[in-house]
Amino acid sequence: MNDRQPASWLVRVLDGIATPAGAMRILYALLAVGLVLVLVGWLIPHHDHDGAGIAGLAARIPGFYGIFALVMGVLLVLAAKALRRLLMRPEAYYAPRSIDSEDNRRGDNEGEGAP
Amino acid sequence: MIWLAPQMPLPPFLFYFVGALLLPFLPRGAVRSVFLPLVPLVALGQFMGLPEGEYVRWHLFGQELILLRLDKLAYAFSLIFSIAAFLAMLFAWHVRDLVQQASALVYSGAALGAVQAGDLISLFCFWEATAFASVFLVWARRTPGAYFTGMRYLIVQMLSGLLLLAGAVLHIRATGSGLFVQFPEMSLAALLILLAFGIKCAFPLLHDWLQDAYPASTPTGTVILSAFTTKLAVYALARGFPGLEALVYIGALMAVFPIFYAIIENDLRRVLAFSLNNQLGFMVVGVGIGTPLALNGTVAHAVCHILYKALLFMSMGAVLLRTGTTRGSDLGGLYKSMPWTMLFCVVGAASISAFPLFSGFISKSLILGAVDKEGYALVWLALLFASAGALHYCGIKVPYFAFFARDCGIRCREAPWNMLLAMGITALLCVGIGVFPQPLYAILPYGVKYMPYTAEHVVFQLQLLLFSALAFAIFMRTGFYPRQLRSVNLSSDYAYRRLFPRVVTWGWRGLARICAASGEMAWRESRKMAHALGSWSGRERGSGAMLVWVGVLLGVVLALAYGR
Repeated sequence: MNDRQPASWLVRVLDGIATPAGAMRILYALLAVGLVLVLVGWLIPHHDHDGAGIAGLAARIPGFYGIFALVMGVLLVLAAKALRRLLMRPEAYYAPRSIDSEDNRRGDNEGEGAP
Repeated sequence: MIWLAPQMPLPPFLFYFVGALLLPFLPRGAVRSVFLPLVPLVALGQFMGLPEGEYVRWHLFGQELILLRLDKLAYAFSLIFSIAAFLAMLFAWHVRDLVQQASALVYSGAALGAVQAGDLISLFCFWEATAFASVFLVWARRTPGAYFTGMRYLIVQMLSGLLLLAGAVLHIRATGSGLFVQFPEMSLAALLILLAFGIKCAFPLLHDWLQDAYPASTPTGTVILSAFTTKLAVYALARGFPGLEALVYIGALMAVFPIFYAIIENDLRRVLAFSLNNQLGFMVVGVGIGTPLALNGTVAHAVCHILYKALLFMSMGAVLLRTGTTRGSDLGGLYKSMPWTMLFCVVGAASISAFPLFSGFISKSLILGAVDKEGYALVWLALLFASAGALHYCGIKVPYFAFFARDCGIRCREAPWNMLLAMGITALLCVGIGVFPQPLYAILPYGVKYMPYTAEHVVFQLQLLLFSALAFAIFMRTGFYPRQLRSVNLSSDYAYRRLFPRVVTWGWRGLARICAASGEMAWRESRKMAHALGSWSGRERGSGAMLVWVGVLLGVVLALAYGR
């Protein structure tokens, strides 16, 4: 399990990104690109919809998709956290009749082992 | 009497079944590993060149069984099932477990047989065969938990089969025809069959078998499981109930509710099972709308979904194989050890999130377009929410908690070459379909004139995804996102996993107490009577008197039994 390999170029690239500073850069980049997209979405001509359906209405509201995603994202996580209070049980709740608390390694029946 | 069409092709499922029979006689190791992925390819070659039509017919007890019906709907599903079977077998190249190999073959063959069956009786046989064959993939884990999970899975699948059989029999009695075509009206027979399809399609409240069983299988078993059962149900719905309006709302519900569970779920393979359920919702909505655009969307989404879902399950299978766990709470930082697996996982995640240039983008939009066109505004909003949610709980969560997040310290080898190859091909297909959707559109049931890449569509979709990603990033930075905790979350399966067994146990206990109390009373009375019968038994308190009375009782029972 512990045979270390020399880091591939992919790992080196990712090492540069997966740092706290890199994460902040990603956050700002997302925000910047998102705002640009809102602007572009506002400016481009809307030909896709005949204007009757909800998608046509959404297309005419500037930044609808971005705002929708943000608001619903917040609501989603809030609701999920509330749900967890209600539904969460210990891992061994259904044991021994479930796999939840089993050691997965015991379940690794891949025959004679992978190459 | 068997009657076969003049040009008599063998039904493709036979190749799988015969392959499974031959398997034990082949030398273990490389020969079997080469043989397994070849079977789907040979079977694919068998039906690929055939023109549309019904080929293998069989008259049995006055019923016509059609074992090979090829039309556009069956062809699209047959093609993707064959590709999925090939990729899954390649992914499982290193597996030396005969049980898994044989059941994977039978399971894939049965699923293929089901989509090519032209009548309800054949469909039922294949329907049950998929259930029987696939449960061995759950049991292949060979732990007590997997045994019980497999039993639950089997019972639910058998229930679906029974409902299908009951519906089929009623339908044949009422109409005289067992042909599997669209049901013209909502009779009792059609309702039973819809329920059977609904169980296999994981409709809300009938869905728990999916999240229960799929994470219980082996690293390679789950990949095979993810491809067939539920998409077979989607096919069956598209064949039998296109345009049934209730399906629009059922599908919308299916697309939305699993997201909440997926966010708080710890086992990443179960997260993927929830996301499978959510994506099925899109397909069911498409069936419910029932217009050519919507049905095309359903089929296209099923094809894309089988590929990217298999890819995601493959990446988590590789993680499970190498690290021994897929718990989000135990993983993190794996990109250092498994960078290629991470890359393929991200491709799968981008595809399910419907990023432009990835497969989900060109299929999901067909369904959303059809929903909008038919004026289901609320359903459209629900599906948009489900799309944004898909990025949260699956598109980002799965790769993030497995490969990035906090470094769990696990250092392992990269996935074996066969897994990487299977993931690489699947990832290429996901990107290929996303960039060049026309070959996929060409095999859809209806002619498509649909342009997924308009400026508006690309920009709005990117807006949706980037702001969802932004929300996730902010949550992670602020520590507000639900932490990955070792836990289980209650769902409707609580009813049959806890509540019902408890009620039965309480019932039995109560009954046993009543019996014990009345038995004790009877014993006391019998002793009094024994004393009264004579002083000879007086000293033998206990066994002697009891024997007498047992003998008397037996005699009475015997007399009663023979006397009747």
